[in-house]
Amino acid sequence: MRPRKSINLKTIADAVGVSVVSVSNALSGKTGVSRQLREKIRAKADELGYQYRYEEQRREEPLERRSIAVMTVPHIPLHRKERWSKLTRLLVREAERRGAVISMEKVLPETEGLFLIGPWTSDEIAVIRSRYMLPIVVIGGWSIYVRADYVVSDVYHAVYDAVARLHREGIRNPGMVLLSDETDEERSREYGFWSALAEFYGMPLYERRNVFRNAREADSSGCDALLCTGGFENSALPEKGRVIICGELPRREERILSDEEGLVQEAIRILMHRMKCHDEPEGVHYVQEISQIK
Amino acid sequence: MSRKSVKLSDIAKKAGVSTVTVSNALAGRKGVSEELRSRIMETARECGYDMARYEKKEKPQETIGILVSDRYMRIGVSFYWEMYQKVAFCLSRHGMYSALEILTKEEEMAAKPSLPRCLESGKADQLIIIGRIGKSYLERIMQKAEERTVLLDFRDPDYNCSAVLSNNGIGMYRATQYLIDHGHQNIGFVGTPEVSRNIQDRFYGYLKCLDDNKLQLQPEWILKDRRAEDERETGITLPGTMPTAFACSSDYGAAILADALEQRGLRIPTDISLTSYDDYLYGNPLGKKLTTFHVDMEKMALKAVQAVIQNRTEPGCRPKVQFVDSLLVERESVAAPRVQ
Repeated sequence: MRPRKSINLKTIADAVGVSVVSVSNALSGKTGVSRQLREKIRAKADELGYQYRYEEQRREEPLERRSIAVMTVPHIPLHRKERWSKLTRLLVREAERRGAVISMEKVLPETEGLFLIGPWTSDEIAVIRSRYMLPIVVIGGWSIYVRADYVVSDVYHAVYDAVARLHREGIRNPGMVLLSDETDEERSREYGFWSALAEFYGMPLYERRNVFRNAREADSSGCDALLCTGGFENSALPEKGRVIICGELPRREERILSDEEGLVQEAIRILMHRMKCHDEPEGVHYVQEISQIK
Repeated sequence: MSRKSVKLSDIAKKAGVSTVTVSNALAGRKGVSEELRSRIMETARECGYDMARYEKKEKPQETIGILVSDRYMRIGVSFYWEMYQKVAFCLSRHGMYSALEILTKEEEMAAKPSLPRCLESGKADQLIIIGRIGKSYLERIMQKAEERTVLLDFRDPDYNCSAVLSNNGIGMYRATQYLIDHGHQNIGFVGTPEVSRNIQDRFYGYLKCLDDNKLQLQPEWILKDRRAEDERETGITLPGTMPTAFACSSDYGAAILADALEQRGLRIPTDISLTSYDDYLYGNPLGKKLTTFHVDMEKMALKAVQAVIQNRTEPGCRPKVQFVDSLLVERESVAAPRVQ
């Protein structure tokens, strides 16, 4: 039988080439280790299967049994539902873990704050706001006309950064495939793409090159790397060149994902603050996406 | 016995603790009781360990370095001077000092860049950089102090570093939508995206707004307000056919446009409507008239200072890039388009 701690600090230290002290400090979040090295050490620890519990020293405040309602956007097509259901589950779990009392899809007399999940429309948000007069945080959509707090993934910069990186790696002709442009999010990606094309590939500002509507168009374009957005489980993807998926589906190795944990944390932080301080909403809060590009 | 022959493990063995504990004790980190710490230090002395570094344990640094390129400080009463003021005030309210360092062009463009003096001298351990600086100079700072730096009003995806910016895309979208809501369908853009990524992001906010409202972009209505190389102003050349409104990417650009319009005998807002971005135009009568997206410098400064505090107290946490949203300040530069 293997001893429980067969992987210890020394093993990790040797593997990375640093001292035991550095490993200890890195894993427990103490100072003295650069961020780069810290991440390297943690990655190695995970790789080796080290059993450890380090406290992510987030300043976590309890939600003190506050009553919060959570409502998921009602009118979405089936193929998009799963994403918001998943986000709802994550949010509810985290909020309850911090002590909040959640009521699903219902605003109770004791409700102090409200999460709206998904791309609610301006009118819907306005109606809810005037009906309940509670602080509202919307996750996954935004409205220009209603003053509230909106927590949204920064897809524009995520795509821009991806193209910047492809440029550094020597990709000569990047393209984007918009398999669907139903959502604001999918369309926003185009602008990040063009912004990067203008800056790194010399495309004139007002032109809109290299965006295709389907895999076939993309394949005949001669692009050596393609960012794909708006896909579903069994979407037809381009066959030539390198493919990077923006979003969850379809599952491929190289992806840019929304940081759901980050969205949840940010939303909770903001709603907590509003419930405590009753101050004005701030508008749109962007959360950076996670790049899984090799 | 030479200093080098006394190792942490020797001290650890003698004190009956681990090397990790010895290191943390000597460095004054958390996790070691005061009692144990003094015992370990005594043991270290007995072993002949060189204690010079640890005897003079300085108090945690309370001075934050603020670095700004002199490019930004030259143009009259500049935006970044105000930003610096806000940061300095905010630091002060949090019990910290600020050390302003102005980066000269020579230092910034040096082939072998040095570190900012405030970091090099150890006077400051955390740094806020206001406004984008040259890549090679920035790279040098990132090598040494990535986790102790906060970028203000710019970001750099190549580094894993906290950054605070204004919400360029959304702000410009709001300003453009305002024009559309007042009846304008022919809307130009004033700005030089080549000069800064902020301006570039604003252009795409404008573009998306046009697209979402099914309006057409006319390339001849995209007016540059600066020469890209040195950012100084240039006169705007008005296009042959004019739109009925312009969404300007900065108050500065709006002022330059207003001059050009005046020379052509065009009035604001009767003939041409304007919206803008910044809400920072002092010493110009246009400032009192301009409908513009307010850049909330106080909030940006606050978030930057909070990021500095977080870098210091929670060194393990992931750095955030934050965009501060705000409101469009409605004044008198927008009217319905004139009926031809």
